[in-house]
Formats: sequence, C-alpha cells, structure tokens
Amino acid sequence: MYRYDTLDQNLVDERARQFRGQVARRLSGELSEAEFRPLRLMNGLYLQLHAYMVRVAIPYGTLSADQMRALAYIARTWDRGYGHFTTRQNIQFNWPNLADVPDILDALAAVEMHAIQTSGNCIRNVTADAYAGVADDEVADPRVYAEIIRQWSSLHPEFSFLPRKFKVAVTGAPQDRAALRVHDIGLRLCRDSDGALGFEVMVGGGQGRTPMIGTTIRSFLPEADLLTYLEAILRVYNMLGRRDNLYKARIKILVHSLGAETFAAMVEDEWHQLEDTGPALPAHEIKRIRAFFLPPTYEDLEATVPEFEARRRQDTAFARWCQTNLARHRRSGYAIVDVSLKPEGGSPGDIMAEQMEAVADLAKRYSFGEIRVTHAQNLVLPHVKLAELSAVWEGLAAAGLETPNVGLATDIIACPGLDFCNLANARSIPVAQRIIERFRNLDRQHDIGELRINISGCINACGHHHVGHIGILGVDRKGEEYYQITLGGSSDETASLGKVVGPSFSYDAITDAVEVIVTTYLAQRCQGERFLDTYRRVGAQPFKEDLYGIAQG
Amino acid sequence: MRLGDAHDVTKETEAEELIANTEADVAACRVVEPYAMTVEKAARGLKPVSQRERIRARGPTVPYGHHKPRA
Amino acid sequence: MVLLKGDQAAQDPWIRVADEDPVPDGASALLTYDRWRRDRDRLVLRNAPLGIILHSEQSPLPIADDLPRLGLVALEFPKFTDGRPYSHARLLRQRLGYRGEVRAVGNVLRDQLLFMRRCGFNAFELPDGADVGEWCSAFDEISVFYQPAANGPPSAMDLRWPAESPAETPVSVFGMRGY
Repeated sequence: MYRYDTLDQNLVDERARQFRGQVARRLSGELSEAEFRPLRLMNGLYLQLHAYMVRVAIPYGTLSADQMRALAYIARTWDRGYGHFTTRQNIQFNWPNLADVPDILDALAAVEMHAIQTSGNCIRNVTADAYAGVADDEVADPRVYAEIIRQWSSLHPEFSFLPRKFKVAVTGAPQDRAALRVHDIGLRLCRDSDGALGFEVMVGGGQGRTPMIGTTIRSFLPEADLLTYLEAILRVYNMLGRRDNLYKARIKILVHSLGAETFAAMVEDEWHQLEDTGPALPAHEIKRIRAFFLPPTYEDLEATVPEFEARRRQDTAFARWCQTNLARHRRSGYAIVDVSLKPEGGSPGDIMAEQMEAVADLAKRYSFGEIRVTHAQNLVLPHVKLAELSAVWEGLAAAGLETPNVGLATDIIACPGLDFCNLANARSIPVAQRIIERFRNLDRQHDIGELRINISGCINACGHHHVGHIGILGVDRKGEEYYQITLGGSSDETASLGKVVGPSFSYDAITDAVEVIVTTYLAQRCQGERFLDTYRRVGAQPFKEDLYGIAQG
Repeated sequence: MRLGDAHDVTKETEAEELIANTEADVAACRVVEPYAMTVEKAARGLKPVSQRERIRARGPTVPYGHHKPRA
Repeated sequence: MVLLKGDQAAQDPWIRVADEDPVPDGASALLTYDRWRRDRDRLVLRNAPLGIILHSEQSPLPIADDLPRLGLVALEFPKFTDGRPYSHARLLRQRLGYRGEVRAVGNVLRDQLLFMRRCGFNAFELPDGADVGEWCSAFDEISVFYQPAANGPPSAMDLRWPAESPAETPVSVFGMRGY
C-alpha cells in the first residue's frame, strides 16, 4: 500500500487545518452558508436531507486494517455508529455535527486519509479495479497509476473549477470491474507489441440525465505520457466544456457534440504542445510508487487444500458462500474474498462500526492487513489462504457479514435515495430491501444466476441504474414515488446502457415488476445463459408483454 | 424545532414574511437555508404534502446504524 | 476595489476604457478584446502602456502576437465557478511566454488566490474593504504542490527528485509516520 511521505502528510494536515479555520468562520457567522458552500464542497461536506454528510475518499478502493479501524472510530465518535460505502469507493458519514467535522478530518489525516475532492466540480476520487494486484487476468497493478493520478489531481490549480465534476477510473485487467466506459476518463493498462506498458484511453462515458458509453480516443498511450495526456484532456474540457447548462456540462456532452475524432485531435494537439511544460512522469517516479504496491510475501502453497475441500463438501452454508464470494487469486493457494454488504433487512453498502473492526481484524490476521472497497458497495479481503477460508468465514459470520450473494439478484447496488439525500426523488433503500426479501431463497437466486439490479433515487444515477441488468430509477409523480425500469445495462467490458422498458411502477408495484422480469427471463433463457445474454438475444419484447400485456407491444 | 411547532399560513406573502422573520436565526447560525413547504391539516397536526418533506420531518423510513425508524 | 500585487496592496495605474469612450492619451489604458481588434491599427501607434481584458470565454491565443506590446492582461472571472481563466493564465505564461502582469478580475475569492497564483496570476482585484493581510494569509495555508505550475515554489516531484540527484533514490522527504 502507498504510504505518505512528509510532503503528502503536510498537504493533508494543512488542508485539515485550513478547513478548521473555515468552519470556525462559518460557526462565528463570519461566513454565510452561501459563502461557506464552495469551501465545504472542496472538502466533501454536503448538506443533506437531515444533516451534514461527510464523504471520505478511499483512493482506488484500497484500505489498510488501521484505516478501517479509524473509520470505525469516526463512525462511533462523531456519527451514529455506522458508515455507508458508495459506488465510487468512498465512505459517507450521514450525521456529523459541523463543529466536529474538523476533528473528523484530523482523525483521517492521522491515518493518511482525507475528504479532498469528494465533491465539487473537480477531479474526484480516482477509482480502480477492486481486485487490483490480485486478479489473475491482470496486466499490471492499476493502483500505481491511480496513486500517481491522485497526487497529480489533488488541489490542481487549473482544474479545481471545471464545468462539472470529473471522474477517472483505472484498471489493469481486460475484464472490466471498474466500469471504465461510464467514467469521464477510463484508463485500461495494456502492453504494446514491444511489451511496453501503456493505456487505452476512453473518454466521455457517464451516467446521469444523458448516459453515454465512453469512446476510445487512444488505443495506446505510453505510461510516461500519462499525466501530460490527462492534462491535455482536462484543459480542452476546461476551456470548451459547456458552463451555461448544468445538465450539459459533463465532458461526455463535449465529446458527443464535437465528435470523438475531433475531440481526440484537439487533445493530441494540446498534448504535443504540453510536452515541455506539462507534468512529467519519469520512470524513477513510477518505480518509487510501484514499490509501495509490490505483492506481499506470499507463501508457496499447494493449489488444493484438503481441509478446505472437505469442509466445502460437508458444510452447505460454507460451500454456498465459497461459490459466490470467492474469486480466483493470481497466486496459487490463495483466494480473493468478497464480503457482501447486502444482507436481508440491511441497506446496501452500510456497515456498523463493530463490523468495520471485525473486517479490520480479519484483514490483519488473514489478508496482509489489506481491504478493498468495490464499486458494487461490497468489501474485499484480497489475499486469504485457502486453508484459512474457514476461519475467515466464521469470523465474518460472527459479525453478520457472511451473506453469500455476491453477483446474485440480492447483491443490489443502491444509492441512499430519498431517505437521506437532498437530490433524490424517491427512496432506494426500502425498494432494495423489498427485492432482497422477495428473492431471499438462495436456491432460487442460484437458479437465476448472475444478475445485477441497480437502483437510483434520481436521475443523477448514483445507484448506476443505467448499467444494471435491471435498472430502477426513482421518479417523482406529484409527490408520489414511482419507479422506471431499464433493461440490458452493463458496466463491464461489454458495456451497454439499459433501455426503458415502459411506463413506471408505483412503490408498491415495483417488487412484483422485478419478479415478472425475472420470471420472463427464466422462461426465455437457453441453457447456460445469464440474464444479460438472454436479454441481448431476445430483446425487450417478451419482457414488455409480460409486464404490460400484449397490447403494449 | 419540530413540525408540531410550525406556523401554518395560507397565503404566499405570509410565507415570505415567515421566512423573512428567520433572518436573525440564520445570522446566528441557528437555522440554515429556511424555506416554506406545503402541508395539509391532518387529524394529528400538520402533514407535509410531499414525501420528501415527510421524510425530512420524521427521519429515514429505514433502520440505520442502531436506529429503527419510527412506526 | 483593492489591488493586490504579489502580496501587497498597490495603486492601480490602469484606466479601464469603455468600448465607446476615447482612449486617454499618455495613460495606461485597459481595453476589451473587441476594442483592441477594432482599433488595433491606430492603437499600435500610441506611445503609452496598453492592456487587454479577456472575458472567461476568450482564449489568449488570438492575442499571442500582440503580447510583447501589452503591459497587462486581465482575465475576468464572471463567477468564481467559471474556471476557464485558470487555463488561460497558464497558456499565457507557459505556452506564450508572457512576462507582464496577469491580473484576476471579477468574482475573485480569498480561497482561490493560491490556485490563481499557481496558474501564473500575479495581480488580483479584491472586493472593496478586503483586508489585504488577511487575504494574503491564504497564500500560506498550503505549502505542498503536486503539480508543476506557472509560478511559485517547486512541486513535490521537484523536491523528491532534485535535478542534481542521480535519480535512483528519492531525497529525504521520506519520514514515514507509522500509524
């Protein structure tokens, strides 16, 4: 993991001190809310439906056990004993007092964390593949470059007042677990024909009111040119992105209106001019950062572990959990463990302080002290020995974290929705809870197979509904909550946007509608087809017929 | 401050007046960004018309942390 | 208006000339880009300082050839959220090599001064009554800069890898804290 040097630490300390001064000016009445707003938004502090909310960055989704403990401490000391993990690998605290926020930032700084640029029209927290460094299909560890981008983008003097927020995601694997195609910039590490490392650069993806799939504007960018190229993209966007209409201000609209080729040509031109004055990325700096992400000292282990196999055969609950919550590790004898934060009755992404501590303890004991946050609002213990999976599972179960549903129908992504969020039109969490309850039967979930249900409480799409296999969008109809369904979305390497299937459903009808869709899929599917495959083969028609009757067609 | 303590008015000018009266509280940071909402008179006091204001008044409808929602 | 140059209050010798008004003889005249374009042939004959004010949607690239004549380029922030002048300032300094005064005018906020200076602004029009000392303290709140920029102290990269060091091990900024 990356560790701060004194420069990194000074920056975060100074920033916390600066914000303490700004909060004092606000509390004394020297600053009005209108004047304070841009300052708090530079520090991840929102005013939500009930209270202030602090959004803490978890750069590229990597946390140490000690950092997780600090988050638990914050949750217990200054919030209401829990936190909420988001689709952007951040954690949100929903109930802090304004006067306590400077203390929260200090507590974060003490463990090399911050809330810088988790809001505002700037380059937001850089996200990455949650399996970075351990996935068996990886070309190189994306966190090296994500950390380089974190530093380059932090308090960037030129790009702190962009037309709109700006999100960058990085992966090192062909299988896209970081939703690159729905980011303002997506970077995929790859090698050229000489074996040199570089990036495929995608721009102009995004969700929100006008969802778009990003376009590749460069199939190979040498790693040394990463920052100058990013600077070129951002400069073109900063100068030409629309500022007259909030909903047309994202880079996707600029790329779309210019055409991707024209946009790419403008970026290339700017980039060539930046050669001398742009931010260089010398090989020795990449090497310095890479040293922090070297693999831990693994043991040489057998690929098969008899005790583990035996328990899997004898213990159905354990076997079920292994089936969904483990992923292949690049190292023999180890597994990647997914920790589901989607239990029945819970709120997707929520975790209690005690559970954070339990995960931290398990990470320390069994996973080299490392934890990851996924964009599906779950956690990951990235390196667990097969022989210790039993113990980890038991530890998770003791903390109520053993839900065996990763990738299944009940592993729902949901934004906080109208229960917490000032922007929402409808509730998301209780809809997720009802669907989770409806599909609680595990045999049925396994029969349904891989299914991504995503719920957003408004068009801003924090719950990624556009890229859910089944997407649910909350809308307001004269003060009543209604839900529009989209089908066929995906955020992986075959990214696609869901299409609206028909008129929206009431709060009480939406769970039944989801069930009808699932039933239609089961009736239509061929052997071995996932929901998404079936939808792509048969199209929306059968689903429309079953949801609305033939007449609708 | 709770919904039960609220003043209800029928004219828009009266609502504007109410908001104007909060100026001192805003300046003293006792109130942040006041605004008027539409309510109806129910058997047990005032009920906001929109779901957003009902949730704002009563809190989240789902459990969170150790808290359970009010029935 | 209070003019801040570097980190001190200063007198403003520049007279902002409305597009319809005559350009005063012998005085430092600050003109709009449109006026400059319209009367350029006459204005270049004038023997007194000239400056141009660019609105946030006006790139400095079209005045590249005129820069040697200009004593001031003022970049206007119509709203503090309009960040285009930051890019324009960097283009002026780093692409076009402009060495004269680059002034931030319009909606200039205390907490943006540091970003502005980093992009190459060296003069700032503050609102009436601004306490210059207090505003200048904003320059000292952050001392670490990750990006190379147009102005100011060296970046973190420069400090970690000074030019004279034989780039194998970075210099001693590496006091690890340990949680």
